[in-house]
Amino acid sequence: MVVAFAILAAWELVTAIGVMASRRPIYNALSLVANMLGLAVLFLLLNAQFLFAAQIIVYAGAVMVLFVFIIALLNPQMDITLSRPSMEWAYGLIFGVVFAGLILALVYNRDLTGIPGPFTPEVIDAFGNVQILGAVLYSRFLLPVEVTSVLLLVAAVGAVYLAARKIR
Amino acid sequence: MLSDYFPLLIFLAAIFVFGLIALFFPPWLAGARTTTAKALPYESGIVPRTTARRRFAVSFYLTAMLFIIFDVEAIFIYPWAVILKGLRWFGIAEMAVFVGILLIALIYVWKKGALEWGS
Repeated sequence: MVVAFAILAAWELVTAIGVMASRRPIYNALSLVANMLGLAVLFLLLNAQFLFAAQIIVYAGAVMVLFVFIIALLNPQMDITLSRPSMEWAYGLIFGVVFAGLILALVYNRDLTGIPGPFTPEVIDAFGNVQILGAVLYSRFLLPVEVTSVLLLVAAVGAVYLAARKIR
Repeated sequence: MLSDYFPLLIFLAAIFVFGLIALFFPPWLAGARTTTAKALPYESGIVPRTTARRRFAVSFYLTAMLFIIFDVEAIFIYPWAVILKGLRWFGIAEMAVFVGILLIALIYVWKKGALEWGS
């Protein structure tokens, strides 16, 4: 378990650096795919099988296809080389140190345990991961689920409006 | 629990190793010679006339965006499908509302001609 997490953490770090390091957007996007696949396996380590599948299908599949198409859409004639602002490294250093400090504070804060909810690992093993997710999603969180469909409707309208040359 | 996925890991490793073999073994065995015949488009391929580095049509973006929308819809149907027996008609009604709203999206997209290529 620890070994698997260590390998995955290293994978995530390397691919995350890859997202930033290359100056060609298409390599950044491919690194992001690798990063999202690693993230999916991290979900698997936490016994979140549905999240694993959703992460791969939606993010590594659909969202990254969109990213690559947008890069292809914006990429005329030659590969873009990004020009970087001069103070970029300083900003990165500041935010990196702040976030690392926050994470360390969380890790070393022993009092931070959280309240166990009704869905303990035993309950999830008994009823099944996706079953429990579905039961909660389609009873307690029914309204947010239905509102999500409205959100997707708005997204469809927005996409058509942005992409259409002439609105009929 | 995690050991359940060990066969999958072996499978992934096998894919990776096969990819490496297919990539590096033939050139090592036969030598990497490029000839004019090898550079030709394979079988019924088309001879490229311009560079591939040019702007893609906006239709690709639109198709990808619509794909995400209906992909997310499908993701919502998975957890619903496994508990449908317990939900009975209430579940059918829930999903009817959900899919119904997205059906409006589909009709809108269709009517606007966004499903036709290059419109």
